[in-house]
Formats: sequence, C-alpha cells, structure tokens
Amino acid sequence: MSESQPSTLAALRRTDPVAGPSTEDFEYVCEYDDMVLDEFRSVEIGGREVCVVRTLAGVFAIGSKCPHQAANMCDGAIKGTMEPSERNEYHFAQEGEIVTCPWHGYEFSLRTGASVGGALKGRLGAYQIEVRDGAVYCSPRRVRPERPARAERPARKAGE
Amino acid sequence: MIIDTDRHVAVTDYRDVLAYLDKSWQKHFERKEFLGSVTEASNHIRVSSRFGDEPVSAAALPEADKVLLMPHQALTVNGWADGVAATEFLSGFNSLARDKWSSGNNVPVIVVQPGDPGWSAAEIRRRAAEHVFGAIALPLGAGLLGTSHYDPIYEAAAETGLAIIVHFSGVEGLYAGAQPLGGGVHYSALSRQVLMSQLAESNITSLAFEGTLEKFPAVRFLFSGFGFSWLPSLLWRIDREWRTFRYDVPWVKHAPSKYVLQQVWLNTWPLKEATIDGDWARHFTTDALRSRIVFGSHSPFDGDAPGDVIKQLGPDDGALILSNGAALLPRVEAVTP
Ligand code: FES
Repeated sequence: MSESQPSTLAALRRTDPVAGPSTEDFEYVCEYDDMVLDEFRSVEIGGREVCVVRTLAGVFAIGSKCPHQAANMCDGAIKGTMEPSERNEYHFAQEGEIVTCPWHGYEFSLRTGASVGGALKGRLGAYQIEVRDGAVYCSPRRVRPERPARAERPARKAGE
Repeated sequence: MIIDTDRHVAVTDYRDVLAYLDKSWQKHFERKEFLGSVTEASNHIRVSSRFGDEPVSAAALPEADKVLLMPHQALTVNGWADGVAATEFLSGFNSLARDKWSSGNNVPVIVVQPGDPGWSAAEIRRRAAEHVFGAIALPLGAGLLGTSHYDPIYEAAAETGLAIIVHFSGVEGLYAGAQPLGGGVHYSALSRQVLMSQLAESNITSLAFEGTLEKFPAVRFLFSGFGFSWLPSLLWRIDREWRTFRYDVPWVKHAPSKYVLQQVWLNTWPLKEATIDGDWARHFTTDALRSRIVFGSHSPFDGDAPGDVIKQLGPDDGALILSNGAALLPRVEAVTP
C-alpha cells in the first residue's frame, strides 16, 4: 500500500466530497478487499450501471456513460492531471482523482463528475460511497452538482 | 469607419530609405546588387498579373476611410542573413514611412525585426510615441510566433496598444531564416502563394497552444493576406485536441478557440475563396466567427474593394466585416490628419 493510500478503513469512510443525508438506502457493491487498485467494477445501482473504483485517493463511483459520446466509463483509466499553470510549467496533482474516457480521453473528476478544465459542458454522474465493516456501499442517487456562476460555465455542449 | 487593413506600398529606389541612415551604413548598402533588387521584393511571390509592374509609391484606392500601409519590401528582412543590417534598414524604412506616407488617412505600420526582439520592442516604443503609426508588422522569422522569443515584442505591443500584423513577405518557404512551408521547398512562386495559409494556421496554433494568447490577453493579431475560409475548421481541430490533451498544455486555461476568437483577426483577401458555393453562409455561422474578419484590399495587387465585400457577403454581413477593423485597430482610428 502506497503512502498516500488511506491506511485504515475508517479513513476511507466518506471518500466522496459531498456529505449526503442518510446512507440507509445505499446498495452493497462488494467487499473492500476484493477491489483491485485502479480497476473499475461495473455494478447495477438503483437500476443504473455505475462504475466503482478504488484508487490511491479513495473509493469512487461514477455513471457509466461519458457525456461526450457515451463511451462506457467503466473502461476508463485512472489518472492524475496537470493543474493550470504558467507557460511551460507542469504541476501534477489530483493523483487517483481523475478518470479519462476510453474513447477520446477527456478527463473527469472522480469526486464530482465534472469535466476537467471546463472542456465539456456535460458531466458524469457521481455517487456517494460508504465503506462500512469492510464492505463498499453506493448511493442510488447522483450527487447534485454545484452550479458554477454563469460566467464560469464552459461554452461547449456534450456531443460537440 | 472602413479601414483597409492590407494596402501595399513600396519605394522605387532604396536610396530613399538609405537617406535616413548614417553615412557608413549608406555606403554599406550602396552597391548595385542591393539597389538593383528594389523590384525583387514585389516579385518573390506572384499575387497578380501585375507581377511585372513597377512597385507603387503611394496608396490610392477609394472607398476606405483609413488605410493601413504595408511596405512589403521591408517585410523581406525575414530572409536576410544579416540581422544587424536588417535593423538599420528597417529603422530607415520606418522613418521614411513616417515622413513620406503617413497622412492621417494613410497610416503606416512599424516593421520590426523578428530575429531581434529587443531592438524591435525599443523600435515599437519609439515609433508609437510619434503617433503616426497604426500597427506593428512582424515578419515571419525562423521561430513560430508562440515561442517566448517574441515576448519583448508582445510586451511592447500590449503597452502601446498597437496590434500585430502578420503578412508574408514572399520569401517564406524559400529562404533559410524565414518560416518554411509544409512538406518542402516548392519550385514556383505560384505554389508558395497557394500554400501561404499554412503559415497562418501554424502560427495561430502556436500562439494558442504555447499559451502566448493566455499570457498576453491585450495583444491583438491580424493575419493578413492568408485567406480566412479555413478558420472554422482550424478552431474545431484545436479545441478537439485540447479537450483530449489539455494536460499537455495546462497553461491553456480555456478552449483555445476562445482566445483566438478574442485576439486574432483575418482579413478578407482573397474574398472569393470563402464565398464560392455558399461557404461563408455555411461555416461562418456565429457572430464570434464573423467578428474575426476585417476588410483588406491587398491593393494594388489583385485586390477586393469594399463594394466587393458587400456584393459577395450581402449587405448585412458585408457592412459588419467593413466595420470590424475598428476593434482591431483603435490606434489607426485615432491617427488624425
Ligand atoms: S466519448 Fe468520452 S470523450 Fe468522447
């Protein structure tokens, strides 16, 4: 286990950013120990396909359909990304918090489902996860995204 | 106000330029190979059947309120091996333009030396203070325009509010030192002329992806004489690649088309290429795209007149394109007779 990986199950609780309400209706996904690092597992949650993954940054669940042209995100790759920087400088960050689409490589945040850098208007569904007693549970409801201020919204629509 | 952003002007005798240099530099240039080359600068590239004509010494196309004068002979320094001589020559050319061509309605550009950004920045500041110049002409030297080599020029442009005009000199794709064309060296001037739009696409892409437009948001660029029908597809392509490979250019903080649609303009010559088969109506579908195109006659070579713009684009879009130059060239508007 790498240093940046959460070392206890307690640390893994609430890996998602948005504290949701009750976790009672969360659905069972699998045992935590059965999850292979950075490998998605496709599960049906609330009648929808959801992609669940354990990464260096935690356990995350996203909707399976890319908002660009509907590639299956369970085939996506777990990455970090380069943060906005000055010319010719690279700042690698968010390791294990980014998924890239298998078709055209667009980046999305595993935490929020948002397109990185505002490349796309559409976003992935993001679902709250809870790790309880060694098992992984997923919310059947999408995390409601925070609406950006109008001026900050990206110009491109999904599918463009 | 109608601004013609692409009016060519030339000297018939290089001694008129040399008169502004000190005696030693005059003697350096006063040799028959150089003095005899005065007509060559118009001939590197064949843009019209007027190829063999004498170069014209003054601008005279009706219908435009203001005319930006482009001395294409000065642009050819991008093919010179001697960069120091090039700065002397340009200094003389800029002085001549100030004294002989500037008339309030006829507004010359400051021509700078792409191989010497330090000298160029100083020349921009010096000439801007003379209040007769309307823009900066940056010939296409060896490096793409997005590289930091040109930063001093862009800083001076931002500081003075002068737009940067990029116009080929005709030696591109031919002389070492000037930018090459894709694939290799073409045998004929005709081939080079046909392919000049490659240079505009290449340099706009460089400005966007190197983060230069992001770093200098106040600098405005006009790519002059390269045509414009290719712009929508270029913007689609650069955005498409950025969405996939944004992490390779994290200094590009928005879709690259957003920068181009704010900081880059193209002028209308040759107008026909974009209006055949209804291409204009089909591809220039947004106000943002239509706002990028400004009128440039390319006169006295085979040029378009403002009336052609109206005739080919229709009264609404034609009027819009004829008025777009004011946003690009506020300093041209500000020059008074
Ligand atoms: S389908 Fe996902 S990026 Fe195109």
